[in-house]
Amino acid sequence: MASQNSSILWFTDALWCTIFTCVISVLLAYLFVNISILDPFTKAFQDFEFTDVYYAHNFYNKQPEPEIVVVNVEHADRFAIAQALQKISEFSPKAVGVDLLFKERKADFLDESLKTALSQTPNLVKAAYFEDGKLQKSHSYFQVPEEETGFINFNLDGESRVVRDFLGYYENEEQQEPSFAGQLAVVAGYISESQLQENFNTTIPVKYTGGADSFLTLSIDEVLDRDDLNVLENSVVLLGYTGTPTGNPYDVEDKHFTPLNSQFAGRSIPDTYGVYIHASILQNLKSGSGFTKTPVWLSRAIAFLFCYLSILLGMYIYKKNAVAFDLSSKLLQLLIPVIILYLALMLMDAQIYLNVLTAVVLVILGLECIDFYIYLQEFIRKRYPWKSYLLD
Amino acid sequence: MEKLLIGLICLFSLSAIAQDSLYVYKTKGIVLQGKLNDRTRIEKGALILPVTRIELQPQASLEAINKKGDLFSTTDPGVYSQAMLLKRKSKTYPQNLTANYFKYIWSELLNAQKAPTQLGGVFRGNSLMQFPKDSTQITSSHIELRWQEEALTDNYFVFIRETGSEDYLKMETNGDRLVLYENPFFEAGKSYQWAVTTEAFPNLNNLQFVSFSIITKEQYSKLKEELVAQLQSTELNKLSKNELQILLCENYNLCN
Repeated sequence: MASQNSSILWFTDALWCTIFTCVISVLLAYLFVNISILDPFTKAFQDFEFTDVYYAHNFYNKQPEPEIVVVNVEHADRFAIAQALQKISEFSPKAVGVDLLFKERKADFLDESLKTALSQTPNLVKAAYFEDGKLQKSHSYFQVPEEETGFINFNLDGESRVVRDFLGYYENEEQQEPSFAGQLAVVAGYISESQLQENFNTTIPVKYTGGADSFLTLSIDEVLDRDDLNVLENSVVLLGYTGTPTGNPYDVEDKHFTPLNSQFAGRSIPDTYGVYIHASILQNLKSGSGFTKTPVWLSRAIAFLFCYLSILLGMYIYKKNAVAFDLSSKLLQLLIPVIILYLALMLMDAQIYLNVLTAVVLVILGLECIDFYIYLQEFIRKRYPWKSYLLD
Repeated sequence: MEKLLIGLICLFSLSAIAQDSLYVYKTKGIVLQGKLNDRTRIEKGALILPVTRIELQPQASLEAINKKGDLFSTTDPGVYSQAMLLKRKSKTYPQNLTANYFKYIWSELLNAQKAPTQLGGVFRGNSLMQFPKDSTQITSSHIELRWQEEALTDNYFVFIRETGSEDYLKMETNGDRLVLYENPFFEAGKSYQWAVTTEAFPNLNNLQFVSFSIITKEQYSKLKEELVAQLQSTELNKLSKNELQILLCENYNLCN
């Protein structure tokens, strides 16, 4: 009977300590967010996720995509881009995406050539972008009747600078717009417009399959000079910028941070050109093999559970031997997050995306909070009767 | 009926081509296609048909992709048909997530992955030459020159001169090495200098040259004995003849 009471007390105390840990973590998070001197920590955590190690250290499946071809326009003029579009059209691709914006007019001849090429390219999707809530497009001169556009913004919510998620279809009271990759997937026939609108109107993690290495990239000169471009037949061709020359690691124009960055924490340089991110999203839509993101409530519930189990274990060791607890708590703070991260990677391998940052933070903090919880209990017991698993 | 038959044959042959069609995904070095006397360089995106004959020169590599996204690669020099390439499927999936993950954790615990030292400057006029290194003594009848490839450069120009002479042996080549077999330009007992550049007509006064000398087999044996005695290492006795030759060449510029 005494043993059963002790067990109940153990489970109850662990639960109270977990709640105590959650309160402390909320207070700490509040401090980090609101005190400007702690801004670097806030920013570091905004851009950080433990699961980035999945990509950064090559634990993922690299899958080249034969049906998506990227054409690097480098710094070619509008006439060259027009010629490239005409050449690409000769091979009847499923869709052509132009990840370029022509904000103003230049010379008449160049502009006219480009406008003609744009209007004559079948299955064309042009880039647009949201700025201050309004959709911006290329100069009206380059707009053609019934043109297909898609927004090229990543992270529309502005929560992180690392491109982990994508939104296939944006809608609010005022406007509706498909994403660039989403519209390309519709035009290419990979998904229907209704599927895009219904299934991709919330953010979904991008399943990267290798970034630049996953897509055949041709330079605009190669497109213009060569005739053996049968690879473009029935493909989706994306015109965009991938450095001058192609893949130049020191060129950062339109380069973004993604989980593929080997330096996944701390300072680093952007790793992936925007057009490859669109291509990766398109590949996800084509194959239908993207991640299923666990809802926030579930990831928090899992974090609470891990914290509770860690505290349960920590209290058990403390009860047996306080010195052993002091020695082992640091080891547990290392081991349990390693196991949590391992489980998260296994889930990612099974196409399930779980944010484990909260779980890791709560486990580390929870084991640290056992000592503070004991002080709290001692304080309470001086004033009120309070049964304790650790002190009785 | 005849039309239907022809149509069916066309349909089957088209589907057969579609199933087997391979495209060039990546190439490195010199990869050629075509008949012996009509060869052209094969480029990214080119279609590899069952009749296509592909030739890989030394140091070259080829990766091809089919419509399913499977990769087929080869790095061995030789002539390949499409059927031969289809037998060389590459594995893309990491072998074992669990093993790789815990290996990574272990290396992190041991602090095995240290960040490389950072240099606060840029390189200009980087020397491409890798072998022979400066002051190398070579005994072989064939002189192998190796250099570092520069991105986006296909052609290299090699200049060799006898030390003190103004007469140059100039050669243009692709790739990252050149081997000269019993070339009459070289004589045992003489010293030479070499340089490699991507410019066809560089200012020779500004080129950085690396010197090497040709020695006889007897000189090599004598120098080798002297060097081994000088090193006085018991570890050297454990090495095979070939391993010792490589060690002396790489670390002490004495090459056979």
